[in-house]
Amino acid sequence: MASLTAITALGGITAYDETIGGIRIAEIADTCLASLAMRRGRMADFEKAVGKVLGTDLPAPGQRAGTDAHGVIWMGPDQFLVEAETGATDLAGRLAASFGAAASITDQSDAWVRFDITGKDVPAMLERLSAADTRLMQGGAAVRTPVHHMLCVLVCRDAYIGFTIYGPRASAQSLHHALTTAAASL
Amino acid sequence: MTQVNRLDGGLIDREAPLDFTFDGRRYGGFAGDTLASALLANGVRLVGRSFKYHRPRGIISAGSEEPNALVELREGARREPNSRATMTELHDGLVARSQNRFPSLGFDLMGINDRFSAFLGAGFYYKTFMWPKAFWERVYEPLIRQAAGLGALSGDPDPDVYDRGFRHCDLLVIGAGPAGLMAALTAGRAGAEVILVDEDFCAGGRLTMERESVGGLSGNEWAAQAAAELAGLPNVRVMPRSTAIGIFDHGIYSVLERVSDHLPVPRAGTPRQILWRVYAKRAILAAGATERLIAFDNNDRPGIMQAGAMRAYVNRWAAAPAERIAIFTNNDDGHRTAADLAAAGVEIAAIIDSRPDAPASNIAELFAGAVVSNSSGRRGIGHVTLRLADGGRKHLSCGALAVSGGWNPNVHLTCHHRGRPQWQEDIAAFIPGEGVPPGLAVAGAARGIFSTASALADGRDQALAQLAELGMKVKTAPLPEADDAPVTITPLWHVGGTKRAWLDQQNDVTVKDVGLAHQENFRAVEHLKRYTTLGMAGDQGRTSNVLGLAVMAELTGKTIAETGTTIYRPPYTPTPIAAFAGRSVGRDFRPTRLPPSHHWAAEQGAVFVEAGSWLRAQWFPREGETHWRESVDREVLATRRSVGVCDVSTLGKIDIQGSDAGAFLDLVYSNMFSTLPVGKTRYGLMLREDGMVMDDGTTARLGETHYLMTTTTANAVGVYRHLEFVRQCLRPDMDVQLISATDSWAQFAVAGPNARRVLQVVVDPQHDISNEAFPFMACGTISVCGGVMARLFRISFSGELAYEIAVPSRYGDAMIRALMAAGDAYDITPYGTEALGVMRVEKGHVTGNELNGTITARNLGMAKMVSTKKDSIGAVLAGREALVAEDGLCLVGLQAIDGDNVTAGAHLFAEGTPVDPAHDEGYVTSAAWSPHIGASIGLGFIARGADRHGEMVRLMNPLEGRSARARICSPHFIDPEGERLRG
Repeated sequence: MASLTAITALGGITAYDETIGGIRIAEIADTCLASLAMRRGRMADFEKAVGKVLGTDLPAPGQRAGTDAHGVIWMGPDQFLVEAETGATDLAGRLAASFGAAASITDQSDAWVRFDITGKDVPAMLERLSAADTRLMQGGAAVRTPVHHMLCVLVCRDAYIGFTIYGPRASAQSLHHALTTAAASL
Repeated sequence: MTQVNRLDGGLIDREAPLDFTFDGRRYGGFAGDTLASALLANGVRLVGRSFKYHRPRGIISAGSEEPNALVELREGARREPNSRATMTELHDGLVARSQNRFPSLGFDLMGINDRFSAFLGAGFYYKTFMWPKAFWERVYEPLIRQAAGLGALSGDPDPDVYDRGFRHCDLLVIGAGPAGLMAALTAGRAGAEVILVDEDFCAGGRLTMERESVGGLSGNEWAAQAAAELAGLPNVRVMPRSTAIGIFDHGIYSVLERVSDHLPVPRAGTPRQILWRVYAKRAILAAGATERLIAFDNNDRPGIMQAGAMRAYVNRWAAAPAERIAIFTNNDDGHRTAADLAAAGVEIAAIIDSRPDAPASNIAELFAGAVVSNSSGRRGIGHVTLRLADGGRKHLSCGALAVSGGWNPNVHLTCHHRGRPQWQEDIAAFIPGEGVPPGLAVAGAARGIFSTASALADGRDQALAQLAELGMKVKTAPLPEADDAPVTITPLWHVGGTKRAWLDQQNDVTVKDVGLAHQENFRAVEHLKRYTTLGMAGDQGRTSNVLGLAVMAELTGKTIAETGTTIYRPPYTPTPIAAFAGRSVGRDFRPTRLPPSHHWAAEQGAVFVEAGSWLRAQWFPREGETHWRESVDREVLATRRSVGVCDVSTLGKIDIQGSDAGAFLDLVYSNMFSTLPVGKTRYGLMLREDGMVMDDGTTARLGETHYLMTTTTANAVGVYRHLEFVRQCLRPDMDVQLISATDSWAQFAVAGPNARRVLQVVVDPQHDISNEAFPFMACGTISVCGGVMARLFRISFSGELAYEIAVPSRYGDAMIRALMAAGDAYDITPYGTEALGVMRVEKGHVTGNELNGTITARNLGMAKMVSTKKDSIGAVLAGREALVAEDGLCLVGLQAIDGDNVTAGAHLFAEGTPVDPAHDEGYVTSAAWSPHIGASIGLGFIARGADRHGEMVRLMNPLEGRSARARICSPHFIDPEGERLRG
């Protein structure tokens, strides 16, 4: 039996990429994600493993820490979302092996749709969608924010001009509609 | 199209002439005009009919407080009633119509109401229409509804879009008059994040309407310069055409921006209006003040206006309402109007100053200590009657009357947290008092500081104080030089007379109405408001409230301060409901969730149904099938005969890990999970704290410290929230971590006698899924289609041999295609939620219909699932006396006889008993046509049901007037022993 063909959250074989006005909205389909939650009472092991495996300190609330290859986004008390850029495979499996009993790891690669939004008008677009103060967010800031009733994660990559928005995968089309409508309404 | 009343000068662009129509007649105006200013320039005084008495009415004000000049704008689906002409920017081709008149504005049949005013006074509707009682709904109410109201909606869907938005700032400045501009300049120059909002389309407030100099420039030039400086600061956002309509908790302000109202049609894609939620660390209210009128007999005649508004029309819009104008004032500001009008070449008929010590005037004849006691004229003022200081009377001809009764600070927003304004004697007006929302300061005329120089200074000082509170150090900047003349006032609220003197012109409330309210003991201000409707119109009584209070104060012998004010509430100005809805309309009302096989299902022509926010395939019609039942029956029979496949990804999936995961599940489920072996799945029953069933589902043990819980689709969010509550609040000592995995997996039920054979085609050969190796309730991680990681659960909702196979969502589309291909040899059938429902009713599986919040495990016949060997949520209260009574409700099956139908919602009665609540024995929760049984069947609850199998009952549905007979049976219509699913 032939192997299965993956489709993107928006339903395409290739990822969606469009520029509306001065704003580029690109679906990023190959990011690996895993949730990383600290086991109770394992702070020392957990922090050590984060440093060793992911090469970073833990992010403060409202922040993303890490490198381009591996990012760690604060999601809640002792709970983080790890993102690994293109090409990484079985992130959850690798993390589970490295963290042992210090963390609970769950693959989240297929739980989210990721859109990267770039351009000079991005804050003007995002202020129609999110209560986050995107005008003043610096690179590395990350917030959970509802967008049209969808709970999303908004990450600032490059102050003012570059953001990533993660939304629930099953709602990818609704989120995409919200983003493109906002971009076209400026 | 000559603009007969157009003067020289003004801030209009004479290079940009515009055409518009009013009641079908064409008129001309200029860019910079409002509809009101253009109508005045064209000599149009009569613009509408009043709400109740259909009195002819004209323009009163030059701002958002306008109570009279309400018109219908635009045509077709864009028609918008009750639009204030004073806030409507003129654009080429604007179409406006008067409203509340028939057949025409000049001749209105409903004007007859005015003759019957004696019967239509305050509270008339409480006293009339009482008899006969039956007439109320059928006759009186429809009549009143038809007569009431002003303009009418088109009835068509609004073609424009509206948006919501969020903005943040250090300092929000509301109002771009002298105080607001100075506050914004001070904060903007200091580098603070500033948002400056103003209702007008240009900055300056009264500076655009006065003849005065600021900093050596005209007021307007200075304002334009300040606005330009602000626009150049990256940290300042200037929002024209934007009204702050409400103040909410924690520094949240609502601002309505009219993005496209000044355009014939919004630019493609852009919204007509945006409702902004502004998060402001600090705010300054510089909303200015509104001029009061003075009530006298027939003071509502077109041509009678606020003196300040008339001055604004002359100075800013070069439009005089008439060639000869009289001034009626109780304060110095009236004289300023006289001076400005005279300077523009308007003839001043006289200045009537009610103060005996009125300052002398070199502009026109002055009647000191005199009042205007009446007006006359058809469709507009022609004469006024004066009552002179010596008691004599005098008639005076004039085409308009400017009235100045003093200025009321616009304190409204300061009251949105129930702040109470306080009376300030020297200006005879309310200023902001106690209860101003935290973080909000008030500056300039909005707190009774009226001169331009002092307003500029106050704006700066308030901004400095606010910035200091935010820890910002700012140097004090010099102020521009400006006018600083004091204004003295001797209050005069109304001139006694014998006719009607209007207070609230939008709701047609007179001085006499207040008297009637007093006479009938509605004397408290809130009673006065509701009895007379004073201040209840769209303008919230901005031109009338204080007058009404003053009249009531006179009648009760109290001071105005003692009388107090009513509460102002958001929105400050009328706001379209569409702006509150924003983008959440029609199909975009809420987001949609699509299961992973959605695109494939759409290709198959599936009929979809909304299940919560999910869009699920309901059935898959085939060619030739004309009724949904044909499709559903086919899907059910094909599945039971061979094999069917259904996307069940919508079920909630919660990943539960941690060394206490088993103990945690023992707590939240009534049955035991810590003993479940790895690689096994168990049905779990979850109770609420009160012992009722909350949800059910299966939970698989994937590893020593790793479980995967499944919830019903409907309860996925509620169960997740409940688990988080238990984890964070009840048992923070437990080592357990939760995360939703619902969206991560595409999960398909493969059911029917050939289910295993189909799966064996897609499951990689190294995984043995034979009955021996992978028995009922087994689970495990496998791979499919040459190495794609998957999870397999041997569980059955249909009662057949069944599996649920899950792959990462990205492979869901390919997986359903692979399953269909693999099942081709077995005539595999996709089935939707209808067939799913039929099969679960046939099997006697409960779902949301049965778990309705009033049902216990015992009602379901699952009392033994509430383990007594451990503590679990709900276990104690499930043991309450009433809940364990022997004659309690019990889940049963129902099979209709004689071709009747079981209908959900019907109540159950024993044969031969009366149909009344006392004999009600239970109810039907689910119903379906079972192609397997060949009859209408259902599930329901009936008292002592377990002992009554075989008994006949009547199903009564008095709401729909239906009844049926059915036999009570086991809820398991098929395979009660469970042999199929274990096969």
